[in-house]
Amino acid sequence: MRLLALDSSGDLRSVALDDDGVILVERAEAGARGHAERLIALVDAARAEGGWTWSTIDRLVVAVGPGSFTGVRVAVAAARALALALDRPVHAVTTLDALVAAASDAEPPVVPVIDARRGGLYVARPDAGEGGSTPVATTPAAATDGLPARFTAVGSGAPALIAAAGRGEARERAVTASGALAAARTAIAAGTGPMAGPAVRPLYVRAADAVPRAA
Amino acid sequence: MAEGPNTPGGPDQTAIMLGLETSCDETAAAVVRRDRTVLAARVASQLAAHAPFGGVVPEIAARAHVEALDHAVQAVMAEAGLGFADLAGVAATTGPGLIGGLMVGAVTGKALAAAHARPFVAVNHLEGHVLTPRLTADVAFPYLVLLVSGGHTQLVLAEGVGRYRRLGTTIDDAAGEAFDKVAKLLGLGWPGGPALERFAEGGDPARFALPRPLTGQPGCHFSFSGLKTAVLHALRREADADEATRRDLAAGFQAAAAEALAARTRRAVALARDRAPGLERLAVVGGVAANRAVRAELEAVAAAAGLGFHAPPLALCGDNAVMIAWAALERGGAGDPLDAPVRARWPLDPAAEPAVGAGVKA
Repeated sequence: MRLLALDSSGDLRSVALDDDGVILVERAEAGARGHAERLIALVDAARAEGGWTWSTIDRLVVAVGPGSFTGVRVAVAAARALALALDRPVHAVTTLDALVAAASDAEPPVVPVIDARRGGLYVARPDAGEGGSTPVATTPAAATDGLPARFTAVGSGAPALIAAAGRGEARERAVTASGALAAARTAIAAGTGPMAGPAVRPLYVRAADAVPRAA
Repeated sequence: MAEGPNTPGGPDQTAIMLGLETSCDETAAAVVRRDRTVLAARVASQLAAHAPFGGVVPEIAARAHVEALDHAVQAVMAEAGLGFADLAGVAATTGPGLIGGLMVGAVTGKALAAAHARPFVAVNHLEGHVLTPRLTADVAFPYLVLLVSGGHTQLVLAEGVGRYRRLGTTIDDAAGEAFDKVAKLLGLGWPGGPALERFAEGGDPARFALPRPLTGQPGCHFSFSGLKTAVLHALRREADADEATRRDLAAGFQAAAAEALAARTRRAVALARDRAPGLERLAVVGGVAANRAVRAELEAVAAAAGLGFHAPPLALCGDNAVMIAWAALERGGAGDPLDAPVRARWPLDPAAEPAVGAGVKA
């Protein structure tokens, strides 16, 4: 199965091609301001580099957030448009899962954490009873609740979390398309199927900054 | 039939373009053929999402566009009975407008174009409005356009595809913005343009002496902020204004705005004739062109100047994707790079001097 993954949730935009579990091509560029300009050109270049035609792609993978509102929207718009154009389904993964999946080199337990700006962090809050988790926006102090004695914080928010906790190891790194691919592979192995393009939605976590006016 | 640019035999009348428009609060897609046939068009309004905030909230608009645009594309392609491979290209508005929405449209257009090896055409929203009279009435160059909407108020001399001279623009509010703000002052809700027009019916436009901003001043720029403030002051003087009073104010404002638009347009006709002696037509486009008082004033300007008058049908006056597909077809199928920029500000006439205070409306 051939997967094309993309991410532009942070300062980096990246694309990766996966052929039956082997990453053929990975391309990345820095500069959050250029996502809407460059992402599709980057996808096209990676596709060509891998020697794929568009119809080679069996499924798409996209990191849906949390991250920059604009960045996750660009990636989701790209994935939904490609899904429509190619008639292919999509695996939507969270940026936090993509960070964990890409951190096989880190000493476990791995704690994914993304800088949410305005002094906040995006972290994965464990779901009650289940093994899963839900991304939330919180303060660094609140994010230290329940952290183990030793852990490796991975992501753009790692330094802030380590500073607030007063312990742990920080791996400050960006979300990548290859991380999203690895998270999708984990999901597929666990029996999670892909979804239709229009079902893929940005995971903003935070509401839009707007206050309803009194009538 | 006007000839297309760089095509000696005339444009290919069978060329079909998909257009996308997401620059403000309408998510729109359309499929248009070069022979002026609109094969399918959809506009998904976000009015309900923004109404609680009393205006368009950029982040809410961007969030709505990404959820709606692929549905709109799918719907128009199905209605036209076409596959993406049948398209001559995919066009999207890449400016000017709200940047978050523009990004969604640009990325979607680029993805659809790239995946089917079709040209991607980056279209200026203002150019879409300005070229609409050529779609709806085959208007020949040169012609004068008053573009009057919630986001823009401009007088443009269209000399050819890609050749536009901006003769005037607003130095503060757009005309439609002034209608919305005055409607809000009068308790008519948002968006207020159509509500204000209905409310003004039967009102006495002469009861309140309101200014006709910039009338008689040199140049063709517009200003509506002072007029709006005059309405506010008049309303304050009339403590507990009854409905009849408020209707008179609405009628007075509408008349003043329409007359101000007409006065500046009259000046622009003279300027346009200096540059283009063969000028034969005045067109009015944009959402405010739906206002009957405004339309009547402009028809009178055209008649007095010996010009033909054209206003596109309502659906093509407001923001829509038909005009984006059409503008791309007019450009003769030349595509833009896949990394074409997205621009919140994008003047139609780069040579025009910025108008003080005009902001993105320039």
